[in-house]
Amino acid sequence: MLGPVSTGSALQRTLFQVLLHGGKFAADRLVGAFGGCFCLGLVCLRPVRWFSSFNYSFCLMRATLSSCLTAHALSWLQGCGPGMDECEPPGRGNSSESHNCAKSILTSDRLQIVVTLSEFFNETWEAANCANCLKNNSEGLSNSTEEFLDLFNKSLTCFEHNLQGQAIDLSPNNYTEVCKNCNETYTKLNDLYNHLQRINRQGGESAHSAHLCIDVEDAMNITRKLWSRTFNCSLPCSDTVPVIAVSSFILFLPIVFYLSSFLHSKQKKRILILPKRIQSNANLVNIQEKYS
Amino acid sequence: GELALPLTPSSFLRIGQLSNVDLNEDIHELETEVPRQRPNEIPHNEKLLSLKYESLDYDNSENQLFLEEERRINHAAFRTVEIKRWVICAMIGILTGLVACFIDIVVENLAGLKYRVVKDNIDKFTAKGGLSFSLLLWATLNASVVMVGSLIVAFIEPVAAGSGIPQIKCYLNGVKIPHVVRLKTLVIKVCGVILSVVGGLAVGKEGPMIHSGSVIAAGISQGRSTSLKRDFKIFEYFRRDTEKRDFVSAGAAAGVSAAFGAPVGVLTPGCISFQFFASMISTFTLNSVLSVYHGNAWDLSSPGLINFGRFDSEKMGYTIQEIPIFIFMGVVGGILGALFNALNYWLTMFRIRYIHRPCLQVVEAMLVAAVTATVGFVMIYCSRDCQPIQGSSVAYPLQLFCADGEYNSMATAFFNTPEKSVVNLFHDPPGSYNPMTLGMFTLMYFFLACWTYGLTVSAGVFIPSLLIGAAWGRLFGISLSYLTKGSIWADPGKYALMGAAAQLGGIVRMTLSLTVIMMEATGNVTYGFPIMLVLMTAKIVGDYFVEGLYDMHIQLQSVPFLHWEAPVTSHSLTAREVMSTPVTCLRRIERVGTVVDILSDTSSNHNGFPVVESNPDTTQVAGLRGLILRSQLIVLLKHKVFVERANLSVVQRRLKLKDFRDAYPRFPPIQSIHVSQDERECMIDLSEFMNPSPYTVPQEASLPRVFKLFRALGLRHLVVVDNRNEVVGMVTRKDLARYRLGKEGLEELSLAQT
Repeated sequence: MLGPVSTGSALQRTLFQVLLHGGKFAADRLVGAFGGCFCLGLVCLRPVRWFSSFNYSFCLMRATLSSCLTAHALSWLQGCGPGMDECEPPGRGNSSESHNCAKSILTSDRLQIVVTLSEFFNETWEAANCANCLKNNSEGLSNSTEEFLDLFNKSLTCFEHNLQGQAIDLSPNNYTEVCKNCNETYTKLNDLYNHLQRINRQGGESAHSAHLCIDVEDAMNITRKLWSRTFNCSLPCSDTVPVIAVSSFILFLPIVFYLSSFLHSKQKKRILILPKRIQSNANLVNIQEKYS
Repeated sequence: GELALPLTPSSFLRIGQLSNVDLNEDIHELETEVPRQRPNEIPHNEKLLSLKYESLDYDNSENQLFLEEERRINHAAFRTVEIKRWVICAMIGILTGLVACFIDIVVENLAGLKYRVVKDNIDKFTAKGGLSFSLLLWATLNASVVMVGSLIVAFIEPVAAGSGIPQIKCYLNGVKIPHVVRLKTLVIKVCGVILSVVGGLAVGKEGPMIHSGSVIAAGISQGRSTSLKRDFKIFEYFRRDTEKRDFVSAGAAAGVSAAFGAPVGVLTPGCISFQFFASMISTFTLNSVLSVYHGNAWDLSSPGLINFGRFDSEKMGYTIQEIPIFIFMGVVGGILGALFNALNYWLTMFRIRYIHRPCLQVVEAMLVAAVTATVGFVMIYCSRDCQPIQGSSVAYPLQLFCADGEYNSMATAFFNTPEKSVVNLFHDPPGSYNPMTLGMFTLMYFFLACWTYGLTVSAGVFIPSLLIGAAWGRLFGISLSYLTKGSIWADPGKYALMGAAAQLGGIVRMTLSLTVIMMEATGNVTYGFPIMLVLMTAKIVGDYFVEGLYDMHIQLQSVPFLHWEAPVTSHSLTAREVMSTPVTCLRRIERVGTVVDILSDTSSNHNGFPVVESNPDTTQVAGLRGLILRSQLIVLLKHKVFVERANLSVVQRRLKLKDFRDAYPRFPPIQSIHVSQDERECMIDLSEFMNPSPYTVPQEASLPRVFKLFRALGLRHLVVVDNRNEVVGMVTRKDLARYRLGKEGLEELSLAQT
């Protein structure tokens, strides 16, 4: 979380993928509403509302534009082949006919713009782990995501509710009301998030699937930032005295141990043995010479 | 002892056990040499040689039996011997790899369990208050685990203590350290290392792996185990010191490669191809088993117990301008390493002198474990360095008083097994650690590691050194980019690696093999040059102050260790001054009673006896005819190979070389052999069994010359003769090892009973 993945890309991909998997219907709607495809995604409906309230409109604009662009290209495809689904993913079609179709369109220009864009979206989609929030058939949000978003909404509402009247006040310790009143909702949200994360980590193997989808992560990040940084509701440092007492007791033990073993233990003595050798003066003389 | 002369205990003692071969003091010392009545007792110090250690014999006794056997074995048989050698090496590799896997998996699971329990506890008490209980829980868990580990080492097999590298070094040098390659030692070593790593001590499991590999090699190559009292009747050809040593070095190689995933790491000049084979097999075995364990069977991504992770050339490459910086880091590493060794020296001396009772040793280990946990806890508690969780690189993130979604960055270093901490320090992205955190961590861990090494637990010093070095190296990298205002874009991970190399080089002072090991562990050949530079600088700087940790411990254990060369400035000493004299000789045809008496004389526990011509009239010179070993005499007495019996022509089997091999390596003591009064009067003919061509030197040979012959051939006894081929003395390991180059010139160590 708080990671480098930009929310804009995630949204782009969300829109795109939903449209794609939604099939003809969604594509039609998109193409039909080229100028105003602002709120056409099935999933993006909610994020649009949330994020617009958090000044995410820039990302959203970009997301929408890109989605429309790609969708346009796809609709073009659709008119040519036996169906968009078979042309998709680009360049990986099964039947030779649709393959040819895809090829002729996808590779027609120097940039291969459709392929490039599609790859970009695919990568971003993977990186953002969007599939994680969707049902298996990508028809909509999974139950756990729904639940999470519900709680998220509740928390935000709670924050908003409790902040009324003191929203402009910036002094740090003025949010105790929020901390107290929203603690329950927030804790629930946090626990659910941790729970989802744990399930996810157990299920997946690769590094990517350790993450939840970016929308959920971002939502949680915003809440946590608000909670910990803005409202300063995180746990205060406590127990200093007992910790110091216990640790100094433990640190004191070795000193006692070493002192007592130094004082009470009998020092180990070695018995010297003198081997029988020729103790000639030559030995000594030699060494004397060397050092003189 | 193998000194071939009667050691009269209390008659010839003098006060100056150490004759500093230096200035006038020496004369003074000799003049004041007066016979003392009571045995001379001194506190333990580093200038002693223990009588406990004997030499291994790498010289084949080329007696008639051996020659006969050699003649019988035809060419094809030698080829099977060759094949057997490879088979043994493969087995050594596989078993070492499996042992490494076992250690790794058990440590991972047990440590994971411990950290989870403590983490849950801390999380619970952070919210509710009462963190002192978590501290107590952590300290108690650590102490109790370490207690078990220390108990088994202290009471069952003390030789399994420590990293085992000094012991193996001594063994390969030719010193027989009792119990060092027994199966029992292996079991204790493996359990001990698991327990001490799980117990959270500042230790690593890599050094013990080398010892384990050696034990496995010694066991397999002999085809039997004395601990299990089983003889599998295989590989009997290899039952001699020479062969065993070769296999032990192959086992050590396999251990190194299993530990670091560095199969080429031990290619020392004396290395043979089959050692390389063993180490390749070992790392492959470890890799495949661990890959299967981690669920990606065909991946082969964990070649060693510690993997430094990938160091990409593009991301973490170095430039020529950075090389002086690396050299400077080498200097720092050398100084810090010397400090580490000096502190550890005093501590070890204190331990040998005062903490020699096993129960005290166990208590000490427990205290260290508890203090390690406490220090870790207090550091984590006091740290205000919170970092956002990125991915899943942190195994057990402790939040404590950090904001939600962040973790305490001190905990990544302390609340983790040392291996993982090292890898984190190498690879965490820039900005993951606060300089203050790193500084405190380095300081604390330095003292903890120094305090821990030398405890009666089996554990290595490689990983702690790497960790200390990585911490200050990273700190160095961060401050460098801070000082230059970011004009050098320095990835702190690169400096962490160099710091680790510098610290390790400063502590253990191995240059060549460490370079190769580090290079292989990073998997990037371009790092070879800077690592070599850093290690060399660290070694040179460190050697200026004190010697390496392993050499220091070998010395403190009073082991008669022979270095490659005789000490410089020793040319003026001749064999005459070095040798022990007079020598207990046997005649070629000797009375059984005399042999038994000589062997059972406790004051002269000699091992080799020159055999001289048994001429009845004393006018003629008794020239040297051969050399016979105690073990051979015992086998002869046991089988009652007496001249009279042969004459009686009882249907007696001729003694074969096999009879000697079967007794190897632990020959029965002389007390267990019963010789009746009648038999004492019999005669025994040694000419068939003695080595008829022992190595000899004239009296005038200089010490370096004697040393070279002795060391290069791996001898145990070197007879000194005069120009009439009469035995005048005997040079053994302890006679040579007692000369050492000290601070004030050539020093002479004294012998002591320990």
